[in-house]
Amino acid sequence: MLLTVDNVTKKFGGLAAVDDVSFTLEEGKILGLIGPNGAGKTTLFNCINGTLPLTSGKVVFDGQDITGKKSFMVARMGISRSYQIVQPFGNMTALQNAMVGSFCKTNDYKEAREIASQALETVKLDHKKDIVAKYLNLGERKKLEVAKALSTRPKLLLLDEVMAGLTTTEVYEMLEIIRSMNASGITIIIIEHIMEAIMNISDEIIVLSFGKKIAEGTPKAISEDPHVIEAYFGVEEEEEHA
Amino acid sequence: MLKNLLKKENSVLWIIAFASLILPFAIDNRYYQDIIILTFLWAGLSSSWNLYSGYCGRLSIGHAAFMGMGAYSASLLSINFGITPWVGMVVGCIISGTAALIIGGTTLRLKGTFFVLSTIAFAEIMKTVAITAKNVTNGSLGVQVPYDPGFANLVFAGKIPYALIIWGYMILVIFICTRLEKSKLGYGLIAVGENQQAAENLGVNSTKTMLIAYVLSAMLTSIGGALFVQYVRFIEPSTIMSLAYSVNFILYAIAGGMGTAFGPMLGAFILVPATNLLRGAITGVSGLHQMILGLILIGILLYRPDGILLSIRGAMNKRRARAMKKEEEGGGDDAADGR
Repeated sequence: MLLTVDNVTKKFGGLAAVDDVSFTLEEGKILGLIGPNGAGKTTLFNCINGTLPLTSGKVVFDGQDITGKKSFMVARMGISRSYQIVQPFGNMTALQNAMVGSFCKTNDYKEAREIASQALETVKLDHKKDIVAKYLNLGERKKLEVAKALSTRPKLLLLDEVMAGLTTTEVYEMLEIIRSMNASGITIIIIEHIMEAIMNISDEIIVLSFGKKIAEGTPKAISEDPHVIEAYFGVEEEEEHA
Repeated sequence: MLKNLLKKENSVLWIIAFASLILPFAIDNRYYQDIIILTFLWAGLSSSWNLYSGYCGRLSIGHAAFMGMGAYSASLLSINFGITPWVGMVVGCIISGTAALIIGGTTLRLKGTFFVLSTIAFAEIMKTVAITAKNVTNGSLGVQVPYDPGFANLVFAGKIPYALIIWGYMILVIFICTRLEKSKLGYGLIAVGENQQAAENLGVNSTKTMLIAYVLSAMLTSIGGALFVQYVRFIEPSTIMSLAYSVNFILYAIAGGMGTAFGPMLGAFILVPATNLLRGAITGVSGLHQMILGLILIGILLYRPDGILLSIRGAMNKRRARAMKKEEEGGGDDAADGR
């Protein structure tokens, strides 16, 4: 197992944003993470990569317990993430943005440049490498977000809504990019609201609702699961009351 | 071609930096030579400040403290113990480096205004210490470096040796900055300045990155302080450790372009001579030159808040982005037809 998430709970005051979630992930897979707004998907990412300390539980990555490790250490060990709300370093060029990531694994300027260039090529942004990030459009920024994460040479990539706000063409392009990264051996967990996209690309899907894992299985099984339908569309009874 | 332009930008600035050494030789007038030397010195000092605050975007308004530490170490060791200021300079480096390590270790985690305030407080405390510790520092009376020319004493009869050494200091700091821009530390530092959390997620140890840069910045500043005292041959706490001096570091860097290797140099090259020449030119009304200088600064901040170098670079970046977009839109038409 590349990643084992064991009874992870994250509480903000009295509210459990992530409530006793467990799952395992094999190397080379793509895991989809879905759920209604506020289900705790992003918080779970923050717990895995060390941005937030856990309230309880354990995260084991590649045979090592990474619970409580700081996010830069987790990044160096091989878990990288992209943000839902893009976070480019605005005054640096696309290439320099990616190089911040590639310096994670090397101290050499030329090598870092090389790795970053490759990452930009993978996300099909190499033609914009000398453009300062603040002048990129949303689609390009989303790609840059992936390129930054990719240039740390991760084993596990956490992608947080990389397709939100993109045009249909861009969504298909992004799916291609994700597939090619996966084909190169990177395991991926992806949060996405575009159902067609996530059903299409995931090997397996986990559904969160109010912080709890309510379903887990292949895309087909998930789409037929009554709990999932309930979480997304509500129960009939409730509608009558309303 | 754009790459060449960028490369050209740096080589043009290197040429300016190297060519400036001609000035003290070309102008055989002690008054102007003095201004030139002070310009080199402040260019170096402001560049040292830039190494942390400029690249990381977190203002330290207390660098005069490190300048003072360098100045006191060099002068006091040579006066009291006969140790050459060259060694005193190294001692000053170690002292201010250690101070930066302790202060930085506790304050660098502070965000925004709180960090700025803590640096002011630090400089004020150091100033008070220098005034109160009369036995060591001679208090408010200040320290007078005796006139005893010689290389070992770092005191010279003419201006030229000072010009050479201080120019060398300026070049050294700028060189370190250009190296930083192409290093892991530099990339990390700029990234942390832009977005600390995003940088951490890419494997940047933000605390360590900032601390290394802050210590390096403090050490280079104290070298400048040591050169300052050996050149001016007199210091007192209420000037060398004053807020006004701390602000100078920032002014030159902002005017020239914060977070660029050559920005502080350009800023100092313009503002230091301007200050001194205005002071010389306007003798009728005392303080008028300060007012005029203030107006110039307000003008810069209003119309070119990024400073000279960043304004040029920003315009170039914008043009490049626009050109690319236009190119794409040209190609985009064909794609639209295809659909």
